[in-house]
Amino acid sequence: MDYILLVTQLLNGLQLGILLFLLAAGLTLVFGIMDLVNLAHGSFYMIGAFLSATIAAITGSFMVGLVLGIPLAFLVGSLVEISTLRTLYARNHLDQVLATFGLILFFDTLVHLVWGPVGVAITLPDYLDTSIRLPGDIIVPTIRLFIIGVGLLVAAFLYFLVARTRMGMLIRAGASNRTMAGALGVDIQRLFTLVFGMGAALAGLAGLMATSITTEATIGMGNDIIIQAFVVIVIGGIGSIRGAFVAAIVVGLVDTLGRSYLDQLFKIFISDQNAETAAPAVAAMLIYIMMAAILFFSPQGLFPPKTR
Amino acid sequence: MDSLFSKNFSYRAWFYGVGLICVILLPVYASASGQHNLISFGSLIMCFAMAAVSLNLILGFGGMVSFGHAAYLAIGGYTVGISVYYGYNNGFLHLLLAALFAAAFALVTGAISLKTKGVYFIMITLAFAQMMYFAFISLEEFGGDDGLIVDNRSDFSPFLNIENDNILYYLILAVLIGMVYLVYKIVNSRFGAVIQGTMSNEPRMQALGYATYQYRIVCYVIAGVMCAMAGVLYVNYANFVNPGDTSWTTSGELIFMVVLGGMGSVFGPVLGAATFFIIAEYVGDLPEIGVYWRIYFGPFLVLVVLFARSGIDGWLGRFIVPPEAIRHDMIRASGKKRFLATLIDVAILVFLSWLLIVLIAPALMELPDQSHHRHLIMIICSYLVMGWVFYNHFILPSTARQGSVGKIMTGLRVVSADGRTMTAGQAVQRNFGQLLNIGTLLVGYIGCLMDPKRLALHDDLAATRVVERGNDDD
Repeated sequence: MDYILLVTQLLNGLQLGILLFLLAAGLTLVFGIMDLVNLAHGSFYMIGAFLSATIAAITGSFMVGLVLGIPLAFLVGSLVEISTLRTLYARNHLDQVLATFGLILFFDTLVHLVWGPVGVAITLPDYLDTSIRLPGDIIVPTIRLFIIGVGLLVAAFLYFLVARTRMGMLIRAGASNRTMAGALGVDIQRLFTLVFGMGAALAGLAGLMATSITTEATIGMGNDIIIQAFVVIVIGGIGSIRGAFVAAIVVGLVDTLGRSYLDQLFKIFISDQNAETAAPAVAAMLIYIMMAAILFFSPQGLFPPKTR
Repeated sequence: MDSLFSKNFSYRAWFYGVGLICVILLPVYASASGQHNLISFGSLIMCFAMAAVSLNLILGFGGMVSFGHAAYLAIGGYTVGISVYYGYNNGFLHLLLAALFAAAFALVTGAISLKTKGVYFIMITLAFAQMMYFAFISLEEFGGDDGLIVDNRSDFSPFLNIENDNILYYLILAVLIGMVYLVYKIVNSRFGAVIQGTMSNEPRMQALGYATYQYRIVCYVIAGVMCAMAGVLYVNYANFVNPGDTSWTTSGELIFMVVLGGMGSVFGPVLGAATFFIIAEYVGDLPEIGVYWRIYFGPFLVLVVLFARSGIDGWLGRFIVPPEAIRHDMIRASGKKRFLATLIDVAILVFLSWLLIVLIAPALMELPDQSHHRHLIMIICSYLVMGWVFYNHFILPSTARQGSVGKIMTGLRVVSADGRTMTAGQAVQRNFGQLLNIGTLLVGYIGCLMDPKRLALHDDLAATRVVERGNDDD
């Protein structure tokens, strides 16, 4: 087997996994703490990408777009939480799914109105728009390594935040027993807004990262990946950041490797022609099959929440 | 007039009765007026109404929040599409195959999904629908991404020839009525009682000795097969099937139709589907801003979820105030004052709209035609106007102000029949009643003139009274 292709695909899978983790981390925090199913998380992904790309285009600097766009995504997230989602915490999951579905429709159209039907293009700075030669003659685009690096940094930061800081302690307290934490004097409402905004900022970061690979932010770009992010948090066990990380990497790898190697695997068992027809279909379904299988054996995901 | 305003008079029964007559007569009207597209629009609504009715069986009565119900529409659709592609046109064969495929799919996915609970169930049903979506996309032979054109309709000879649009319309109507009746029978059977009992308390049903898991699977399969039937008819109407029908947004829209119409009401989802498509069609047809209809639809959905969970079917029922709590000592407002109040509200609205138009017209002239910034300004303005209507007719009356600006100025207030401030639910119902008044060309106001209590349709529905302000003791 061609090992250069294998390593490249592994890196691609890792990078997809990291993106999914950035999205899933916010999603799983919001779900774990507020018990809120937020389909509109994908909208923050899109809005973050549009805002950052626009700022980058105006200032001419990718990094300024990154540094200014993410706090803006935080702001949008907090505003949405305060204006609408706050009233949904006490509702059942059906209400939450429907209302956040409504928000998706709103945001997709809003972006269409503000930025027009064509997307916003983003130009990478020269130092990111190159390739790096790894040992063994493997050439990888710098941006992919950049994404992996940023993602791992964020993961480490999140781990530190949740496990080592006072705010993390409050988050964990809120997750395990919201009423009790409130009774002990934690300002739960502010904590929720903060966590929600943070999730939106992470989603926005993921949106910018994805845009820097596809080179264009497009309307509805969040609607497909949000479903994959939900697969991630369901596999990982809702509410668990560690679970989200593991599941995101696994889903990213399975999806990417499935698309590139499934046909070769199938060719062992069935005729070449059938394999080439069937493989892409099965590859697209692979992560959903995996999710169904995992839920069948462990109905609460790989790392089920201990309390609740 | 005691029949119209007696206690037993039901707006719901009247509404459904009149609605059914309209639906039956629609093709006659359409051919008389030459609006042939009305027939296909009606067929579309009724196909999705069937899907919503079937979803309601598991969602509204069984508490199973399936986020992948659209998959069954596509299963039905592709069964017809692929059969016709290979030259098998027999309609009975199509129905049989679609039922078999849907049942098999529902059985397998249901067996796995129903092991899970809550949000896991939502997500796993979504995952299965996504799998079907990608499966259909990868069917290159049958159009793949672009969908499949079905050039022959199902052949129900010697009984029916549905190549005629009118006959297809009536076939769809008949099947829809049959499905509503079927759900009605299921819900009121012993089986239905178990399903509903399981929704409210599964452990208790298990303790009573019911194998709830098996009951739920059977219910899940029935709903899936019903939806596949809808898919078969839908493709016959559209002559086209595409993977987009399976996408998760379609499933989300189906859930919304159920909730909008009224979860757990047998007939509600039909109204939900009709309202959904009528809004989509008519707002979507507006000049310039029509393509952005979702910017209105999204917040509408949020508002329905937040304030109006009983759905249209619930709004059609009278708001119940206990008879002993009804206050008879409140001084009713005269029709003259009420008319004046309405006049003031309308005048404010007209003035506000006029002001906005005057203010933005020059700015709009500057911008090129069809540019999205021009549309953005127009939509912001429409939002301002609608926001005002929402504030004036929904927020204000259900707060301590107890009335719209027009009512406050004329010294009137709207209260619940027991003398309290209206609840949000009553405010929704009252406004819905007003819409019915307007929609039925003011028929509802006739009641106001004839009824000794001066109750118009919207006041009767929401159990509200318009009374004189002043010397109020609360």
